[in-house]
Amino acid sequence: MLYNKVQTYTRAFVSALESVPEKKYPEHVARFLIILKKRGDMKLAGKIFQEFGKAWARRGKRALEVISAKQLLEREERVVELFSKEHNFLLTRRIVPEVKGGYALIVNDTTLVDGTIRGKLRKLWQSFRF
Amino acid sequence: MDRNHIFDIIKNQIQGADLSVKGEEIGKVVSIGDDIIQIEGLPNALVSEKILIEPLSEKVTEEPIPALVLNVEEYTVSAVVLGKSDKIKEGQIVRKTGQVLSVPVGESLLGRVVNPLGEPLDGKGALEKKGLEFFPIERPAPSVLDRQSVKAPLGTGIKVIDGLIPIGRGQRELIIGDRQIGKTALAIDTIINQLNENSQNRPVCVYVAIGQKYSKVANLVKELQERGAMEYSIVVVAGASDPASLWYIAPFAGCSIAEYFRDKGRDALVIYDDLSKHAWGWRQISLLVRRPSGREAYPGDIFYLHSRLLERAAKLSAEKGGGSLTALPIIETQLGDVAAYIPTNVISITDGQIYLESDLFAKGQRPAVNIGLSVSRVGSSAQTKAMKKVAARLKLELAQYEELAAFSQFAEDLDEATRKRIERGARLTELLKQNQYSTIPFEEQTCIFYMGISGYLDAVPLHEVKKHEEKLREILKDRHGNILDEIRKTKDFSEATEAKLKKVLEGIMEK
Repeated sequence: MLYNKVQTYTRAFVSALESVPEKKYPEHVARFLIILKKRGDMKLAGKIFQEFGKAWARRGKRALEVISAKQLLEREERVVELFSKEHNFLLTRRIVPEVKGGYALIVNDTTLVDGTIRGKLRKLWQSFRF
Repeated sequence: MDRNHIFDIIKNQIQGADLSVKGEEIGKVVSIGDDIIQIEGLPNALVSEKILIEPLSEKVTEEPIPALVLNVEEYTVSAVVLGKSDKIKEGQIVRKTGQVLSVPVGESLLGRVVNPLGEPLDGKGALEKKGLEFFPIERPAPSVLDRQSVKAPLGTGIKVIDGLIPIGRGQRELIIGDRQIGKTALAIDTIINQLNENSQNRPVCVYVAIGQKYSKVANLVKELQERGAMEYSIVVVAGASDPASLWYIAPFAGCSIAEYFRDKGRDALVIYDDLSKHAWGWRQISLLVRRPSGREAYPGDIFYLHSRLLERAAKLSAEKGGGSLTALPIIETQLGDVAAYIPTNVISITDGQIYLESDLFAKGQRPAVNIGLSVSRVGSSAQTKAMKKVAARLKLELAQYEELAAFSQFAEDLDEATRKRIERGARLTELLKQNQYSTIPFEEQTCIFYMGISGYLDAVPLHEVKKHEEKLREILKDRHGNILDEIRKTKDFSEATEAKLKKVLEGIMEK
């Protein structure tokens, strides 16, 4: 559907640009816009370029999002940055006070390692239910 | 219970809980509309897998929202939300469960009203955990070798059905007709009639309400409760205000609940009221997930939707426990059109149909069963010997009457034999009328049919036929219970019993 269409265009565009030198970028962007116009998908251009920005920044790397209840301490920050550099992660941080404490890691938006207090309390609650 | 004891139980539970941190596969909601969510991620999601949408709120006890995976596409997974979707936002985390959607089953559901997810709706608290199991809503139908032929009757207590369109345990018999014609009434009377069976032989009844008004279901439950039928019944409700996803899973959930009893060697009855709405619900979901549509905008697998559901009704072989699951699907037609898409689909799947006609209903023939168009493909194999003996002649008389019915306007100009046939047929048709909630056990039905086919009512005015029927039942119950006992125990109508019954009938007619 719509999301899939945007993703398909984004990934095709990223993969097309990756294989050409930087001086040819404007030419390829112009060609891409012609293709969008021909296929009647010009209205998706805004969304495609938004996704393109994220995908271009991430290319060749895996995304790592660190979720915590408060700002990470200095030593925690150092550990996380070292880890993400060693394993070629694109690091982002998010503060979610509702998790109460602990950390959660989301890798590439597909894997979650939940060590937050909220996560553990929810697991405990589920174990009481069944 | 001692406070310290409770504390120890909770402490042990907490210590025993697995709170270790593990990596798990997740996705994120990228769009939501009309109860369909698009999820990015979940690369290993399977179709029909149950997934959970994590609640956004702080509350630890807030339940995740379940959803069912329908489409697995290139970058996204489409799922239908099983419940309220108003609390779902873009970016919410979605977890896999690795399980197909399942429903709680067991003895603790008897007497309860639940939704298709097994959540109680009757205000009687949570289901008792003792003996509670979980069955997936989609289960394979028993294979050919696991079945045996349908032999035992499922008494409905309705004369026209038990006599002319008998239903056996393990059969699928469709009830089809226009709106407000008595389809649900037939189904409910069948449930109530099981009170006439002894508790060992009594089937567990599961009534699945799909898209029905809650007020109608509440009245139905009240009737069953007042008559003591809720003790062996379970009601599964996906109401009119529930999302189409619950309409879709309701019959499968009801079937799984009934299959628990079938697999334990017991008999079970499941009523799907109605499968027309079930088809509408599946059409709605399929169109929203952009599946290709076919005739009347139904998806291509609309036949498979009902065939895989109804194939789960079966009589199991002795090796598999000998249990049975009888299905009574209900289909609502529009203006009597039985040749429409969904009705013809389900007619071709089931082992017969009970066709209710508006004209008969308007003329006062209730139940408004069109005997000519109704059939039971199991037939007399599902009747007791007693009923077979009287029903054979009843069918013949009624068939002959139907042929001659058009001439009944010219009764004065007809020959004696034809006129008598018409009179006999009219009285037998009058005998087949029956009020709702007035089920009659098979032994009494046998005697009533015998009275009709043997000509005892030929001289009785049409408007007094009912009175004679009631009189016969009263006399048999009060003074000649031995006749009924004999028929009930032997399931046969011997010559000796016939002779005794003849004397009783002669006595009634003399008066």
